[in-house]
Amino acid sequence: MTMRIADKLTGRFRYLTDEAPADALTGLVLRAPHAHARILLLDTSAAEAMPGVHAVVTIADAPEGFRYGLRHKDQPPLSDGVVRYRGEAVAAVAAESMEIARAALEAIEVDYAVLPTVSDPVRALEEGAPGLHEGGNLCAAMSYAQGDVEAALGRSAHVVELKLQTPRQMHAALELEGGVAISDGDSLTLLAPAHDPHNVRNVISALTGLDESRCHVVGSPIGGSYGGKEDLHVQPVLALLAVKAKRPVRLVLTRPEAVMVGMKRHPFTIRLRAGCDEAGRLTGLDFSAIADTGAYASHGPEVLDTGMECAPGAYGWQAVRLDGKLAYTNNGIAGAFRGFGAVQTQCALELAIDALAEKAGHDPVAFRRLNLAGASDPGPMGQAMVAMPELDPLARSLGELPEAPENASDPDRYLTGEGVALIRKGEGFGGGGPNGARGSLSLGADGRVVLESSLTEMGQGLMAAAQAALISTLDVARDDVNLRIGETGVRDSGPTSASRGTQIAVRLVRKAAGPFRAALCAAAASRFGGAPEDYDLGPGGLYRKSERRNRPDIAFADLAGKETIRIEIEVPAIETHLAGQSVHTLFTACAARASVSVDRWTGRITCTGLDILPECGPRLVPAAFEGQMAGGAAQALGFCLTEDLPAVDGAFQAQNLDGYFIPTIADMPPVRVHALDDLGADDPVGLRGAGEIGLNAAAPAIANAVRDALGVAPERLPVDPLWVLDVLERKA
Amino acid sequence: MKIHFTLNGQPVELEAEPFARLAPILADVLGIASVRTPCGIGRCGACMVLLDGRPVNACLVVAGKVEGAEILTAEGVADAAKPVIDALERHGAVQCGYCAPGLLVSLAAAHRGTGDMKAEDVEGLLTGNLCRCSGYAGLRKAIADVFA
Repeated sequence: MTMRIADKLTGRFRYLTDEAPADALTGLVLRAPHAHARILLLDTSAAEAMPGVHAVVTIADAPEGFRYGLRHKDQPPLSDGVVRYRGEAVAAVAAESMEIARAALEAIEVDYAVLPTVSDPVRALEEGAPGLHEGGNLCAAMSYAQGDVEAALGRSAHVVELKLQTPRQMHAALELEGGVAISDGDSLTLLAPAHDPHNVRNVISALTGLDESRCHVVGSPIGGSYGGKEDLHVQPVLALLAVKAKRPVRLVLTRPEAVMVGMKRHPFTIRLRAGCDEAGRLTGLDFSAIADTGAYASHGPEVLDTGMECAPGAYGWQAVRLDGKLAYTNNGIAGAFRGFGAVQTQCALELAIDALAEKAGHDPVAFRRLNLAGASDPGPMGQAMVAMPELDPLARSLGELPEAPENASDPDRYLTGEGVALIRKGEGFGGGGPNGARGSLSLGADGRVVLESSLTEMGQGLMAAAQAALISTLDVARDDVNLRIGETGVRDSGPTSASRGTQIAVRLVRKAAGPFRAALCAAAASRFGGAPEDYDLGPGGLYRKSERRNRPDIAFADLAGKETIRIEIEVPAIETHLAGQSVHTLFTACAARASVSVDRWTGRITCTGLDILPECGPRLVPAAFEGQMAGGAAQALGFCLTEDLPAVDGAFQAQNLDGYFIPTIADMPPVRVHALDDLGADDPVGLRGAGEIGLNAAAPAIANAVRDALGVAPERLPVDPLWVLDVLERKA
Repeated sequence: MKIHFTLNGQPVELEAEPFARLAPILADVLGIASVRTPCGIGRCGACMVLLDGRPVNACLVVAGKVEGAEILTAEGVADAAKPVIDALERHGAVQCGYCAPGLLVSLAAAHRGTGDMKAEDVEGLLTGNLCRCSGYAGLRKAIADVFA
């Protein structure tokens, strides 16, 4: 499997949702038109009797009580008799054509008793609110306290109070959720974009009753995800249809369907109080948040934990109180999204930090430097940390950035502002999540070195990074290496998420390299004479150390096929536990500076410049690394300035990309990346993932730039131009 | 109705409803792999093709309007747009790649339209091509390389 940009440009590169076997049936889903309802009657008999319809499935086709999910297994594959969000699958059909499938959906009879919609996550948790699930609407909660916050705030010279409402951001990957399932009734092959093929197989096996050994799941490559395809999307329904029809089934959502039922970023409702003393040293932080997970938990509990863990930021506090709640509502489903709960809390905290810096009369960078947590300090929730690079060099670099280019716009019409942010975020999973990984390195029959791993490629450059790691670690040529990734036919490497993909790929390669090199040299010695130590690897094959040829003495192809050379590798989890809290021990730091201009006539805000300072260690593929920073910055810009999918009575207020505004090239300022490549020689991992951290830093920097321009912290993101006009009017 | 057009230089004749959309005709009937339909409303630009030299969203064009037209897809512009492809490759401008064929078609139109198009104007043309991965940073560098 190779990947060239030219192939992507010219249509030669194939995505899983492009797969369309000639005999594939068309899958379609009947979706509930209500956000909250009880199903009184569901009759599929007319649809089943239609010629050309090969399968109709409902919850009756799943094992009794079957639910899936991560920490909370609360999600049925189709409505379990209660509809909990608008668009929830009620039934699905597989038919010989789209026309027949549509007619079959119309022939399904459903009667609903509409229930009151739970649309406000705060009210959802109040006494007497209609419950979505047994046990009420509190899906998860976390709290943490260290020191006496009230006392710390009480003796503070300056205290700020702040509210922030963050948006329901949509991933809006251009590739829609979908896939193909192929089954003869006794086995199943599922081709659908996924971050964790083994987890998909686990769920599908339990759902269909087919043994895992009879299920094969391919999840890579992905045409964009950002977390949106991390949880299962069409796979459960698709698997049920194919097993029942005993035919291949293709099911790909339309954009309006994907907008309605796809994962979203959790909206957070945040309130905080933070203080500092006369000298500008931070005192107490009281931070509470309610996050809206919609109808099912998905990654919500993990998102809440990560968000709350990042709420104290990169700073040392005398006392901290954190209180986070995750509410069920009828507003679709929220799940994993790059930045993962943290970007929400980081925006709120960094706005408070700038407000305190102003009150204390400090420059924002100097104020941060005064308050940064030390490298050997415990983590934000008191946890022991694996490795935390010093934060001060990062803050110093932020302060030493060259002046942002002068904004040339008309000062009578445009206000300008500049903001900074400095954040840290855990990498991988907290609290003993699946941080380890398995893989293998072998010599393929074609004479190429093959890394096998279930990590997936979604455009983040996993393949390029893995190839670069193989080439540099084994000293071989590009044509010598090959990858087999993203499927259950190889060993389980865990989810490709939480910025861990590159780190895991590199650790697998490094761990395998020694034994693999030794095995090849031993094979060469036994077949061609000499001792193993007489040989070394190089481009194209093995070289006798005594002879300095420019071509290999033994080509890889000469060894291939005759010997089985295969090294199975496992990298252990990096984890600690803290009294039941889900905490990270491995952190990444990043800073950013943003400039904005505010149009006094329209209230519209434009981001005019962004600097991002990721501290991720050596960059394997610099262009891909910069691409991750710029791509994250674009999503941060959308989060702060243009993107929201409000729900009214459980119905989202846009159906497509004409009513939901992701940044175009014209919206994006130049993004300058200033990477800090040195994590220090004693860093036990040696590098950090680049997938999320740029987004996490850029968003609070933009929010602070808006605050700087207007003199008022935004209380809602994205910033509404009407609110801006209101602020300007009040100031005038 | 019967319609005729040339597709990447080859004559095509097929039966289609006059209001059938061009994108699914190209993708599903004629097997053009580069044409995909992520939005279907002409917003994202992923289905962009050249219709008589002009970039259009194939999801908005109806079959009745392409009689006698010359249609080029990403496959058909690739050779002439080699400098554009090389520049995008050089700057790692493409991530997941789902938007890439539409992007190539838009850039090819700019590239073969007027040789002296300014980079700034090319950027303006590309507001109809949404990319969710890249933040357009590598794309900007590639444009600066190819255009004045």
